[in-house]
Amino acid sequence: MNLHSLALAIPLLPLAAAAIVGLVRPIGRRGGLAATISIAAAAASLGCALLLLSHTAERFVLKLPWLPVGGRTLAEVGLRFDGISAPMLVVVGTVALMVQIYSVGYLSDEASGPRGRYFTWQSLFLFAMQGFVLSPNLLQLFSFYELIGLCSYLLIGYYWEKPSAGRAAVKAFWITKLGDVGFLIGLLVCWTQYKSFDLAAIEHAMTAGPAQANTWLLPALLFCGVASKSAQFPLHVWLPDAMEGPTPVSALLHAATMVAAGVYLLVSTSFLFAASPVMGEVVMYVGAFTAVFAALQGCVQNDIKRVLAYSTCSQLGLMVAAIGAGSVAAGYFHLVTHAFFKSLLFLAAGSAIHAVHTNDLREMGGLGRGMRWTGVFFGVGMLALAGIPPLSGFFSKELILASLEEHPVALVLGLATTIMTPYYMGRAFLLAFSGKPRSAAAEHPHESGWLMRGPMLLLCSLALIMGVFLWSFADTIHEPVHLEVTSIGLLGIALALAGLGLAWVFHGPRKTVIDALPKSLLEAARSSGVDALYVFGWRHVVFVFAATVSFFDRYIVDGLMNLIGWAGDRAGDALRRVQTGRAQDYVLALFLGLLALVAWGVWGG
Amino acid sequence: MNEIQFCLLLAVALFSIGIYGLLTRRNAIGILLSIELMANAVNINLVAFSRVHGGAAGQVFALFAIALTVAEVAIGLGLVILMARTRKSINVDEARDLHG
Amino acid sequence: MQPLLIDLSIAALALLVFVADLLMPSEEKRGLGHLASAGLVLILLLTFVLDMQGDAFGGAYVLDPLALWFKRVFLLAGALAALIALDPAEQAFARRQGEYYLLLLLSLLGMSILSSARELLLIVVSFELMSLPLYVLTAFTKSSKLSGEGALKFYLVGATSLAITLFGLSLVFGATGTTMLPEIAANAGAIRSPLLVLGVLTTLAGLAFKIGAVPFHMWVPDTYEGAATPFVGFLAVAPKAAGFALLVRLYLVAFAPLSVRFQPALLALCVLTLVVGNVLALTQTNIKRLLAYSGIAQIGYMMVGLLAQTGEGVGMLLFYLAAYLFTNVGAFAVVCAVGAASGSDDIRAYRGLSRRNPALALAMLVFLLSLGGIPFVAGFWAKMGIFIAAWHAGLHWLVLLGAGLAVVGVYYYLRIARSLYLDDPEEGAQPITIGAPLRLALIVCGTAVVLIGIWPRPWFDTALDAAKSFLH
Repeated sequence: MNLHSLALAIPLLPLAAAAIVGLVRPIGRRGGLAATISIAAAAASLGCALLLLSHTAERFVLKLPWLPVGGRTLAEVGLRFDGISAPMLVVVGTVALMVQIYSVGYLSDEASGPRGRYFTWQSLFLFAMQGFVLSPNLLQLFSFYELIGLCSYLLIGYYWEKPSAGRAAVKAFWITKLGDVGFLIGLLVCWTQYKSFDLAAIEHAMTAGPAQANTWLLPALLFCGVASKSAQFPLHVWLPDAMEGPTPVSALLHAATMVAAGVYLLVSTSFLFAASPVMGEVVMYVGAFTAVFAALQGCVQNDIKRVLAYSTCSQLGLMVAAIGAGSVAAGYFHLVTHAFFKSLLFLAAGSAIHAVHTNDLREMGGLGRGMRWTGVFFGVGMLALAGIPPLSGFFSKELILASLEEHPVALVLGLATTIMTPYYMGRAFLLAFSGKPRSAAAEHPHESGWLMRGPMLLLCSLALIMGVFLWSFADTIHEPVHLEVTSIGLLGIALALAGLGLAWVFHGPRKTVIDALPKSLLEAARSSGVDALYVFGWRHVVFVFAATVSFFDRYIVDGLMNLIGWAGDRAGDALRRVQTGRAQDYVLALFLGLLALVAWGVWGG
Repeated sequence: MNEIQFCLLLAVALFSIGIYGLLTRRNAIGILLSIELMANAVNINLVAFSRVHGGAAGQVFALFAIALTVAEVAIGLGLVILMARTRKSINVDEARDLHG
Repeated sequence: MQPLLIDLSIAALALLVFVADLLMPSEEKRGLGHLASAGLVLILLLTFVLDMQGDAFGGAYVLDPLALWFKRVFLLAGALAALIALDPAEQAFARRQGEYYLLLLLSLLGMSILSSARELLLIVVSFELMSLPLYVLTAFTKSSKLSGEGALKFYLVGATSLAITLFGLSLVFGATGTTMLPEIAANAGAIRSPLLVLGVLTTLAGLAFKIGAVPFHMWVPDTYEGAATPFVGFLAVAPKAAGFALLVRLYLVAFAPLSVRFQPALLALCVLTLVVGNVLALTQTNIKRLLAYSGIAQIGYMMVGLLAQTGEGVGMLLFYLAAYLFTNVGAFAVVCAVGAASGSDDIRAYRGLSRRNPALALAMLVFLLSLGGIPFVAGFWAKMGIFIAAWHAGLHWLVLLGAGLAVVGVYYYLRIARSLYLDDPEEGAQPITIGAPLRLALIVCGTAVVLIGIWPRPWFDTALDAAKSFLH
């Protein structure tokens, strides 16, 4: 089997599985069989990707003319296997496979028919995602981008009996679609400027051809698409709502793949951003701002999945910021490590939710006793996300902080995120897994079966050791990566530990640090006012601030998005009144139109 | 004022009367008559222009237009009869179940 | 003789159906539907086999690649319409089936001639031959109050706009002294008569009715809602295509020297059509009205291609029409099946369709995605092509507007798509079974939409060639 057919098999195997499960009704109706076929295809696809990865030295691009216009080929369809696409193929394949296996356990209570449909969409999604990763040109990227959005729409809406899930699905789709309008216009601009959609051809034209007038325009438009899919402010509002979907779907879409698609697009087109310093800075600041903004909101969420959603938003912000600052490798490597530990966190959260049947942290507590495995998995994910050495998150976070070194404002925002991330993760961990059970369901939680634990175990080990792969990763993408311990790096570690400490202080088993301190010290602190200042600072300044940000997001940014929809509906209603139903009113409209047309033509033009 | 301008004015007047009738009549037959007036305004135009340019094109056009209008009105009458049957009325205002 | 062959074949088929209708006993009249649709498919195949290009009647009639493309669109639309109507026609008006197919064929003949006409009188006659049967077909379910009302509104607005068109054309004739389009094109630049400008603009108003551009659109939703569903799919596609054929011949060739005059008016119509169509579709609860308003919006996109005033724009418009044909006829075929099963055209009837008939739901999903312009189905390339052509022609802000409004479109299309898959069926809803003819039509439309979506190349090639031969 040659390399080309291997690459072709990566997206086509899941597509075949989707077709079989979706179209052959006897299979679709039997959930177990559907799952088997889907998982087998995903595994085979991952196998192909791994085989290919062992041949990374060989880069190739396959092309086929897709759409000729006016004698030239407007678009090609093809496969691009190179250092950029190789790591992503493996990441997507691995997480998708793990999530599909996990889903079998997670959805075992569900009826058989819907499960068949679920696996159809899972396979279709995998096809769309791998097709996206392998795209050699912007038009194909865009096409698969849309398909990803559609699959996510169907997967989020899986729980149709919950109206909120349906609403969330629609919202997710049309907000990401809104960003795609920018992407679409970007395609047109790209065609006008470079007469090609092919990434390699554009890069060539940029270096070899005459300088373009508006180098910022194309990256700005592409960034609209990136911001909507990768949930950057202010187009991030769909992500928390999308948590209404099944948890394995969140693990796949909202941790590792769909939201990563935006960042991947950014990586693939980074040469465009590099050519425009202005856009690079805009991207960096949007990313850094999103990182802090979302992290702040993560601090005050009570729904465990929403904590993770805001955390994803925030981490994506960091990746975007790093790429904006010019360090593609840092952003991309964080994308890879984040994919593993965040999907692990989602799956572990799903396992907890499965046991207690609620997302609410206030109704959990003490789960660590009955669910040791899940607790350990969530803990490892937490530490990796917090960036504690030597877990994988540490390496990528250090790279990102290093990339921001020359931009003080962005660096401060990044460091602020670094302390908040461990805080909210620690808070979620402590609220869910330690302390006393706070609801009847949390009294006797049952550990999940091996079908769910197995995938988590694998992701957990990847989250632990992924950092080691940094150097081989650097080889793959052919970009030098320096990891040296600088003062900022040390500060990062210190802040991460401080964040965890803060979480312990406020949400640990002993209610506050005050109880833990020796009485005499407490007296001294009290008399000097340090304690009051401390408590006041955290309780009244930071929390109020975080709550305000959360309020702003929920009612102002989100409200604005809803307002657009509402305005459309009102306008529709108003216009409907014109359509009176009287035939002569229609004729009147005809004559008025005629008069306007003649007047416009005679005097207006 | 020369001949052709006079003809055009007449045609426009006739067309406008047709429009007025079309918008104000409620009786379906009256509306059909108004449409007929508008169509005949066109015929006056065509014949007048035919005289200006010479040749028979305009006159042939007018003859065809008359035939077409007849066919059209025949169908219109059919629809009015259908309305009279289903609604027991030929007041066009009463046919407004479809709207919005 | 050769160039007329297609139209003569359609006329012969119509006569055959007419005579057979007189001779056949009423219980066998279903065969007429088979005859009509098989005959149309045969003629369609003929257009691919024979090379018939050329002109006739001293240039008044021409069969160029443009006309050929339109004729193929009409033939396909007609064949599909006859196929979809087979079962409902037998149930609703078994004795009058023959008339139904006869009228359909006559209207088709009118469209077909119209797409070839290069002379004003021929244009007017074929325009009427197309329109008159449509009024009757709209009112064909005689017992239904709504059907009669829809037809009456269609007729009143249609007859008025015909008078307006005729008035406009008479002024054009008066100013140029000729009825031949090539001669008008040659003279129009030199003539400074205000009559010509007035005529050109007045004619535009009349044609805007035919394609359903805002504000000449108000008959569209009422007529669609009132008319029998199997017929609406045809009504929503074929006459609109014919309207565009005429617009291209008149406004991009014959009146082209006057484009400074009518371009702003056309632009205003286009913007209004895009905005009003999309906004009004947002709040509809009846699927036929929703598709009517969304169809108006689709017409707006096609007008963008017309506004580009380039060969590329026309080519993309032709491609759009083909994609729209399969998509819209298919969507109305689904509406037909659901309407027949549940007796309602309310959007609520589509809840949980995936559990009542998964294939039907999948087909509807494909059509909705295509209407929304999502990649990998035909509609995406259609919109993309139009945008590219308009962008090249410098209509940047119009593309922005169109792309923005496409999001609104996706919103209301996906509202239905969500209902199909994510809502529970209404109480007591039974599985839906569909007859063989409808299934065949759905398979043809669905396959075509997906195939064009995956491999649009041959379609783009042919469409652009047809436009290129016509505009430099």
